[in-house]
Amino acid sequence: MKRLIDLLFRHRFTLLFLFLQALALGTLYSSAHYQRSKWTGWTSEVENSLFSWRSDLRSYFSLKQWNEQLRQENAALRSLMKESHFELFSRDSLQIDTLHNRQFQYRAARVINNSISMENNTLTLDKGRVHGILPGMGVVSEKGIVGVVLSSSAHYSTVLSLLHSRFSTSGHIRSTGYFGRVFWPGGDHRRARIEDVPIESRLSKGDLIYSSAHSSVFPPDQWIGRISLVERSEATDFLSGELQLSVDFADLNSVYVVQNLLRAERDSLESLKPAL
Amino acid sequence: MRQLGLREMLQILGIWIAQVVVLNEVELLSFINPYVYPIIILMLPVESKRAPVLIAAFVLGFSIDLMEQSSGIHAFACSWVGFLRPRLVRLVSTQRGFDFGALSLRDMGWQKFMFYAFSGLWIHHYFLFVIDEHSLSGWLFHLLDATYTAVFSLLIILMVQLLAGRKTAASL
Repeated sequence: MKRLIDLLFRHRFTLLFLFLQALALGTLYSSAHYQRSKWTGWTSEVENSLFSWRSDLRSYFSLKQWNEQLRQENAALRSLMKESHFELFSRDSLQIDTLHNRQFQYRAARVINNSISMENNTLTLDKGRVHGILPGMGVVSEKGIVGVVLSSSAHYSTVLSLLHSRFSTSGHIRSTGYFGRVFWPGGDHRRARIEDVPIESRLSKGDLIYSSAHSSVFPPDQWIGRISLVERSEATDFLSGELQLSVDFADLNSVYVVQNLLRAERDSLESLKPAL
Repeated sequence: MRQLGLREMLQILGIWIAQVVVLNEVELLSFINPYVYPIIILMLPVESKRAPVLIAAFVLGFSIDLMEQSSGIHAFACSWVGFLRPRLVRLVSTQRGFDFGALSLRDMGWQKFMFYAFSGLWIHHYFLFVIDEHSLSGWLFHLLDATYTAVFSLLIILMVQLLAGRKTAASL
């Protein structure tokens, strides 16, 4: 017995080490997440303040990327400015520009809430009726289409995201000019599907899909995504495909709400019954 | 055994905060996440008893785990560093004993300090990667990964030691 104790005592450092290793592994493998359940009480305060400090700091690491994004956006906007357009007629002969009436009005908004993991995802924007945002308007980001305004209160509005089972829009294949129905089947927030594309469109991998003029919500030629997979269904003569969305919904901060100023006119025309 | 002074404690806290707040967010070349905090264990006073060092190492690792929500992997890796530290110290001392005052760049000289710090960091990184991946099968990959990461961690430590000036470098 004495020898055993001696032996243990001689190796006490190694035993301490093994004990600590066991403790660490126990923490790792215990399903009850030791630190979450037991230590949360006294660490959460410190953690939360540190986490918020850390996320402030973290934002500095992506400043370069944001700057680049802003620069590109500025460039695009600058090219839309009045100064960037030449005058077709001299000013004194024509006072009112009848050639260019604006059809789409953009309003910048910030995404303050966003989900991507559910079956039906929605966004919340920090602008509402006061800022002129009404249900039915399209939402785009500088990378492509995002969704449709679902409802708006005075200062906020909710958006039916492209990642929603009820969302569907018409997609236009840039290279061939054919159309298909774009929707999100659920699952991966970076992939959507396009269906009902005629077989003669020869849809192929790498084709770019843009919003089409069929939609009265989105301006035409807003990017939606890039085809990553094409399937042919045996039953019908249509192609379907998978597309890689251009917008990264996991990293969505600023968007634009688009109002089609001619939508009411178009809708009322399209809803007319043919007078036969 | 020498007690840690207020200044040294502040430096330890500083390294800890730097690790948690800044370095854990860094991903060099998209796969290297430098860990400099094991240097705290390595630079504890030479005369420290090995058991307290081991326990301190475990607690340090566990505190990083709390911040990272990584449950035990840093504690695991750090206790290895604490366990092997006495052997590392013996490796860098001569037969007569320590011929330097503290385990720091200034007292040990470039060669010894780099060997000592690199070995310690490497041990930490290696066991961290092994336990994080839950497998010994990628051992070659872990060896390489630990080496790259240890190089970067060591570079950061050397830079800080040089920048912090001789006074600070001497005490920690």
